[in-house]
Amino acid sequence: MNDMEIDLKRFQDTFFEEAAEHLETIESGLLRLEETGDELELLNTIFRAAHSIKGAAGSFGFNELGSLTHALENVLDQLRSGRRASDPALTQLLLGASDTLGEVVAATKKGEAAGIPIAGLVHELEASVNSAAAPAAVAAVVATAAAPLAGQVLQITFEPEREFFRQGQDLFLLFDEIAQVGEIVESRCHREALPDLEALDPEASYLGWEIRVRTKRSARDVRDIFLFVEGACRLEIVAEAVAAAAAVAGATKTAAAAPAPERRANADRRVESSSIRVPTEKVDGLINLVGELVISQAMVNQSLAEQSLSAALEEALSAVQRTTRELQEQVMAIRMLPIGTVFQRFPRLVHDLGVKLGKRVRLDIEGADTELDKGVIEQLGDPLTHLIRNSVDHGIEDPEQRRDVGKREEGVVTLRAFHEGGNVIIEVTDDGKGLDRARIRDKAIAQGLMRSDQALNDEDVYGLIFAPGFSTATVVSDVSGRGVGMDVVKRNVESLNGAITVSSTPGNGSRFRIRLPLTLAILDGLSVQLGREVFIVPLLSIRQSVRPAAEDVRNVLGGRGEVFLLRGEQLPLVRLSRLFSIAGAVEDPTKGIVVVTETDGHRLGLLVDDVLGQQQVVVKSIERNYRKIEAVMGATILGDGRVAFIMDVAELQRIASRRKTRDVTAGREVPAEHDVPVPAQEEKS
Amino acid sequence: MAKKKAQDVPPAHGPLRLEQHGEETWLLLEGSVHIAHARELHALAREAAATSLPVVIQAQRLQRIDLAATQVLLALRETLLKQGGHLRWSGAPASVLESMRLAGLAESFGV
Repeated sequence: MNDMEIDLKRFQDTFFEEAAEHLETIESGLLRLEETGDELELLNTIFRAAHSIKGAAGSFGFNELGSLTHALENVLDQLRSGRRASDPALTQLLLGASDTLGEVVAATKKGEAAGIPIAGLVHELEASVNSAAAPAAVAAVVATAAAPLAGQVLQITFEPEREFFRQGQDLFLLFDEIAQVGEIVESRCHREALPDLEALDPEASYLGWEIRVRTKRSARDVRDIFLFVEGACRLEIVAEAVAAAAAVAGATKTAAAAPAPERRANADRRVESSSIRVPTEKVDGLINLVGELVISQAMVNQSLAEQSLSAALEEALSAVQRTTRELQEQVMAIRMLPIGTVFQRFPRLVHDLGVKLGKRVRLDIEGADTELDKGVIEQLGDPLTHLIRNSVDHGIEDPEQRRDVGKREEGVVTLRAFHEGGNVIIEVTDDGKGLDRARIRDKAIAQGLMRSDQALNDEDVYGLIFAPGFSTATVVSDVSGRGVGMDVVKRNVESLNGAITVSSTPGNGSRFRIRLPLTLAILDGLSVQLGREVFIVPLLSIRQSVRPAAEDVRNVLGGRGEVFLLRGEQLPLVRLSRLFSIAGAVEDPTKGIVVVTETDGHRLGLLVDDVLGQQQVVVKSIERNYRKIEAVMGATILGDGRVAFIMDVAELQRIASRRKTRDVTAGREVPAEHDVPVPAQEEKS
Repeated sequence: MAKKKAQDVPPAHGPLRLEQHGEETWLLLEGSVHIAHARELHALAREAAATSLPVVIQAQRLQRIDLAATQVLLALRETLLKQGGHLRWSGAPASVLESMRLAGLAESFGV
């Protein structure tokens, strides 16, 4: 690839990123249309997004994209001008076009757009435009705002921002469009800001224009030409008569004559453009470097810990430590994104499922601005999709059923995110029929997931729906009911160091609750000693640490396992030194410490030599640098330069569950992943 | 007219080329010239200005030019004027000239 191709790719990459945002705007806007009716501002937003894609696609010569967005734009134009009204069929057509547009954007990015058949869809959109009859009432309302004035001259002041060209915008195309709606009687290019050739940034925009256009079109029509560049320029359009009146009134700038909302909108857009796009790799590189700085700083502290330092040096070290921590927090914040970036895909999912299943379902979203690490957010899409599918398919009843039990025909699924105790909680709640406890229990017994004489509480019974292959659906549909999904949800959430629980009330609905850490890159941990090694146990999983008495530790499974008695409760005891074959570690439990952990309500005792203290650690991937190690989620570098493994408590729990499951099922092999909840009293040997 | 290539001439297959023809420096534009070419065009424009010769934009084979690239040529023209030199277009297609006219640049370029 030569320099020119790299340059072009850079501009195209920006276009594709922006196109993805515009596509989201189109889709969410179309879905909102169903609620709001043909609200003009919303229609303008959708139109602007389509127009932006079309404009930039034209600049790059992406013809397929241009054709499709042009056809889509024509339908949207009819809607916003009031020449037609939306209806469910038209919304479906537009949503379908939005989907195809997404495919064409993706294919264009790979240089394969020609392979996507769009002719049929373009024809369908054109046919829709042609067949649309203008509803008189709607048209009359909009006519006043859109009415063209006969032969007026419009003054356009247009000043692109410096970054304008970098967005792939070609102003000549814009002038062509202006010429199509009227006669450009004067076009004055202001080049006062144009620097000397030596000082010129060739990709920056320095020019500005004052254009006079004689046109029969309204100012709003002419403004529409600038839709796809509005956020990146100063734009004023005013009829000459108005401008003259403003001048007579002593206005210093014709801008004063422009409608106030227009100016405000432009000002808002300027504020929005104060952000910059940075490739994720650069941010990750920065985070990595800051992580190294934190480690180096800890090493310096440790090296100097036992030395006598001057007060000035101690103060300086303290300042460095404080600044390093602040720097780390600021850098981590760069990776934080609002969870709304993943939530925004679900209105469409719920809409489509509702149509498919013949149900009336509304999705309420709360806390979309709650921030989470980008890496966590990217992995949340699939589990949330499964949960929402299940809520709509299994939770929400048919309209008739809801009516019969005195509910509103429209079911509600609520997606909610909020902070709680240093974690982010995401809840998927529905107001449907709730989980059928008896049916889940019967199915679990039939599938060998529990015994018929086992007495499980509600939480444990409901937790069975996360077992692989578990499903109570009588009819297998392509929406859900194959028994795949909920176990994947659980695994995905756990892979993010999170946990999922479910609660349900018969007749009132169910609530799935996901608890997630804010980030995967740093972790609050408890450092523990094992022989000469140090391990880190995630603090979130720790309930307490206890030095056991001799009678608190008992052999089970004929000596193949051990339990720790904590206030009458038997917890599986894992000797980490044996699991990781560490020599020189404490063998006598009364000489060590039992760290009690809890995952998904299941407790576990970890026998360690000693507890060293709490610390925040930078998580490094072992898998990426070496290979997966069982029960280890990562590693960190300690202040003395040594590497410490970070325990995967959920996996340790699974290892322990596997052992006890074998026991209670009387030798019958049950895969470890079933993670069957078993009351503690049944474990006694 | 003696024809010799200026130093640091970019590959012949690119859309931009700088050549010296007698007492003129020719900046040859071909195909579509746009923002992705702006940096290279800027470098050539600086070279052209440094020759202290009149610059001719040879646009016979130019199909399309965007305003980012045009702005570089405008800056070249201003610089040449300050140096007492000048810039002219040759063979620009009608569509390019029309674009210049609509954008109020035709007069600046003398086209």
